[in-house]
Amino acid sequence: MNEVRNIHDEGLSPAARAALAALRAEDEMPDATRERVWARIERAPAVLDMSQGTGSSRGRWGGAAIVLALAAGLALAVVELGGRAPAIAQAPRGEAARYDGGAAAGRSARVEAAGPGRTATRVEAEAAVLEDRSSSAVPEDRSARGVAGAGAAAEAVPGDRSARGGAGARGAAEAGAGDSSSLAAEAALLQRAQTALAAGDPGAALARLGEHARGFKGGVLARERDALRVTALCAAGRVSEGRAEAAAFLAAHAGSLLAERVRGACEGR
Amino acid sequence: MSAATTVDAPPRADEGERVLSLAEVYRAQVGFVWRVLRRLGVADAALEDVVHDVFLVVHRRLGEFDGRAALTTWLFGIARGVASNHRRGVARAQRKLSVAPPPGGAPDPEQRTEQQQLAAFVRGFLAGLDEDRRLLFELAELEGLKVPEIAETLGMNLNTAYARLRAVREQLSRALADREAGPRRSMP
Repeated sequence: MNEVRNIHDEGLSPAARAALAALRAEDEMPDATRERVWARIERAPAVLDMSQGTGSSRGRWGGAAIVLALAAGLALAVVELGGRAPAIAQAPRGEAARYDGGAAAGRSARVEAAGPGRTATRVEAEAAVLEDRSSSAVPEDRSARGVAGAGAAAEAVPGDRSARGGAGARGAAEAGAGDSSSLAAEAALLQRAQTALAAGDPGAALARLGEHARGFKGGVLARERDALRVTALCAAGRVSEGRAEAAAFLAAHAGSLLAERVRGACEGR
Repeated sequence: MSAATTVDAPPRADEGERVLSLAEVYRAQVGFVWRVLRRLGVADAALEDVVHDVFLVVHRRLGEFDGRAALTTWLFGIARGVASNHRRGVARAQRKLSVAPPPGGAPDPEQRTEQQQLAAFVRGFLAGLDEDRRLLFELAELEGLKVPEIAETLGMNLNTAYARLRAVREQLSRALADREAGPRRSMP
């Protein structure tokens, strides 16, 4: 496992390093516990659903989880449109510069992709919300918590579903209860729009988005559609329309994961 | 680990943008998650359950990991959220109890090895720090996370983080030197 690595030794005596090593050795996870926890994770319904598919025996939650995972992927794909975000780490200055030299040491398991996404703080906040939902729903039954977790995961499609409102809005629970095929159709349509946009055909993307708007006016993925439409409009040269729709989107969903991408969709056009 | 998601090689820094599997992340990082949860105040008796919960969240969110931050930093964010929720649940449960369970007995100091005594001393030292300083120090010195990423995760100014880290290093070194010079003379 991870080696203890001090990113810089300034201020740390050899005795302190030895003491830290002793502390870390005491904190190690026992091998038997490691295997036991993994065995539980493997058996968790949410994990089984993802690794073995969603057969009928898995029930409706499995189907909903898959469909919504697809939706989440689509939403993230929307976020990806428009380029990559800057790296989070800035060149250290002042006091920071004193330590700069050793900062790269001691890393474990880093994937070096430089893409758009969220900070740990954002993930942390969402994890707290997710876990709060799942634990409050089924606080004691561990095996059932996986199912509850699937529901929570379904709700994790970017955007605040509770804020969608409207007669046509559907929550994740409803999707799990019988709307998964409708949701799959929504996701597939937006995926086609996304593919067309990525292929440089914003006209086709707008056509698919129009189909979605007509077929799923109050759909679960309405927000993702609206965000994608802003990008498609600007890509098609309809910049003023794109900006107007972006402004409306941001006014309604300023805190959405998609907001940043919508904000930058028409930049430079 | 025999799940279909199992892969043999642990994640490596030079593998570009390839997708990580749950089994892979678990195998490489469960020790980190375990230790971090302890540092976040999760009781030993609950650690297994909370580790389990963390990896269910990881499973749901692995596709969102984009490599902007180190995997460990991403995991820390998840672990912190789950631990926070767990602590709230524990607090709720404890409020419902009329009689608190008795604390576990500490091992007899005479039976501890020097290493254990040293570890206990550092644990006591760290317990005397405020949470931000303690987490900063532990994540940097014990877990090898990058200071800029820790600072961002903890919402701390980067220069402040470096200054605090150096101060705690010096404080610990002094405390250990005092301990060597005369037992129990110094604690923060």
